Amino acid sequence: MGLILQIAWRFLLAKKRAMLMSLTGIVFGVAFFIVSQAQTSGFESFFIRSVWGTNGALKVQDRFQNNVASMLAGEEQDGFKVELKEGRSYVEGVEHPALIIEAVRKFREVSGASEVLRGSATAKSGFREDECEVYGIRLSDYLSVSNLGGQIRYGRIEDFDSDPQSILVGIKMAERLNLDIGSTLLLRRQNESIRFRVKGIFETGVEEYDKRRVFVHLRQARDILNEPHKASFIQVSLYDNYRADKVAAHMQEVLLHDVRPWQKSEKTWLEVFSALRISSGITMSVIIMVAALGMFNTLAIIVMERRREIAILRSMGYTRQDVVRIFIGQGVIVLIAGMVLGCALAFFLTLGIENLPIRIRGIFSTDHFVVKWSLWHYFWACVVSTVVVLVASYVPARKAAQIEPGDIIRGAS
Amino acid sequence: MTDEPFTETKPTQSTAAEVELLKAQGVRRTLGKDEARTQALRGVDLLLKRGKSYAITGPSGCGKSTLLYLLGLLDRPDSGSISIMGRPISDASDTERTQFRNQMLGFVFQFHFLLPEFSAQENVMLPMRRLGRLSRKEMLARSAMLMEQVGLADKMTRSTGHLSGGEQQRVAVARALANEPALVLADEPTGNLDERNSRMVFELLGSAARGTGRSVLIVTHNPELATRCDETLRMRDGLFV
Ligand SMILES: Nc1ncnc2c1ncn2[C@@H]1O[C@H](COP(=O)(O)OP(=O)(O)OP(=O)(O)O)[C@@H](O)[C@H]1O
Ligand SMILES: [Mg+2]
Repeated sequence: MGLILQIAWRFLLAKKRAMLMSLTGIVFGVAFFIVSQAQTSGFESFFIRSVWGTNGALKVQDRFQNNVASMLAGEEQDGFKVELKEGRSYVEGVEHPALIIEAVRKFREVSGASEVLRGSATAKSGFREDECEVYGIRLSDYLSVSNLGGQIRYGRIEDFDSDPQSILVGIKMAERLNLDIGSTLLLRRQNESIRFRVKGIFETGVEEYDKRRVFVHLRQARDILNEPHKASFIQVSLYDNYRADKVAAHMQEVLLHDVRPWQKSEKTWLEVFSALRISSGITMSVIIMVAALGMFNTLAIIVMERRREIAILRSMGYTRQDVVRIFIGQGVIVLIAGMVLGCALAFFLTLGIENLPIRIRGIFSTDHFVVKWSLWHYFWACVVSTVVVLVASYVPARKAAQIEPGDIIRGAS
Repeated sequence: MTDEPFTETKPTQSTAAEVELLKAQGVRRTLGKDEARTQALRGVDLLLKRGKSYAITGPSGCGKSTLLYLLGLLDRPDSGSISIMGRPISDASDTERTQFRNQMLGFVFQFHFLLPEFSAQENVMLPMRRLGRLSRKEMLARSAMLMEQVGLADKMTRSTGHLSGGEQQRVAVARALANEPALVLADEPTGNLDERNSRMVFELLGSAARGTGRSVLIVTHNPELATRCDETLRMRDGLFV
């Protein structure tokens, strides 16, 4: 193989300029492929982490009853089983939160569960009033199923914990109602109203939450919303949140409550992100293909120019296989150089981009580019370029192998 | 020098099988299509013995090169058979014929066809490295020895682009001898060279045959050079005369 590669290398060197162009194309194609994947999947996983930080991995909500007369008529061993039919009737909320939480915690995958009572109310500051969505929580539980602690921008979460009359408001609401740490805020619903003191201002990055959501202690929420026992939902986190959809399906059947995993509630955005990731992957693959097209062209020219040398190699006893390898070898040399340099370039570009400032609010909150480091991006960039380059060099290589030495030598003498 | 002129071409004359190197029978070859269609060979019979040198002469267009390519397994006859050392090879697979060229045959063409990116010595080593029978050290030694034989010991590492035409052709001769072939085929090897270089290349090819059991077949227009071979075969219109 050393001999074949040596011949390939010498042929390449004679076409340095054209090959450097193709090499550059492949380097940039590979690098951009990786960087664009690092970015799109970076934002995607950042979004997913934001979702987990705000809404947990899944929510156990409305109880349902299956409207089928008999549930299970026998065990599976009898080969007889009644299917659960669709028709279900739902009862809003979780009637016995303590029981359900206990049941939820029995699942091995569950790392935390927290009951939440949710309801709408009017928030009134000295400045103006606005609709808000009250979240009644038990802080220690809630911190185990969210990243509320990390989302506090002003104030201290400990101060909220120590004072039963305290409230956490979103950053957008704080702006609209002109609230600061220590400001008082009146929550009112029907004829019930309670005065709270702002102990923290949080930012989830999700516009809707930052504008409407307020957190109070569960006991206070029960008073305002006039709901002494029920919970609106149980927010749950898992050791492996990616398993939420499977766990949810299982939980739903056991608990007879509607269970929504994040994959379902954020379906739309997740689809947007994966579409972005795929389309940028395709775009970057096209760059690689264009570079490979250039290489195809150069190799085809080399085959034309080297017909005599190919003929003489064949006459010396080099097989068609050898000739194929000489030309594929040229492709592979450029390919390997392109992959190594492309991956290195991608590495440094990704490092640089990570520190590039960009302010994003709306579906999540970040002040710089988010990237995801994954060897898979490098792997797929290499797979794409390998396939494309091999195809691009195989065609001229075949052409070279078909050269009949007799025809060429006859034509030359 | 031509003690048995022309008779060698007749297969009936082949007596001892161990001296037979190459045998061609009824070889026909048509070249070109439509109007350019030419019967280049019209049933050629030929027998080459080991350790002898042959010259093929004849007017331009009589089919000398066509025959040489067929004997060198660079082309296939339309009909007829060619066997080398008793092995029928005209219908063998491409792989087998390629292997045969590597082990048994050496070529020198009118144009040297050296690989310009390789040094003179590297060019000589190309067939050896393909064969892979010698160690790297042995290949270096053998190629150096061949380069010395062709009088280019001092220009071994030179890129072939920086050699004169005669020098390049001598490198091509050294390359043709690299794998100690049983048969060296040369098609007007001196066609492009001056008197002195022609003589030199011819000498080299001639001495390659002498005393080694190796045969040499040279196509040439130069009657003076032809007479230096053991035998001269004359062609006309696709047949030996
Ligand atoms: N590609 C081709 N297509 C058609 N006819 C061809 C082709 N190549 C050669 N011929 C014809 O075949 C015949 C034999 O050609 P060949 O090259 O063997 O002649 P030659 O004896 O080597 O001549 P020269 O001494 O000029 O080299 C010639 O008549 C030539 O015109
Ligand atoms: Mg000729």
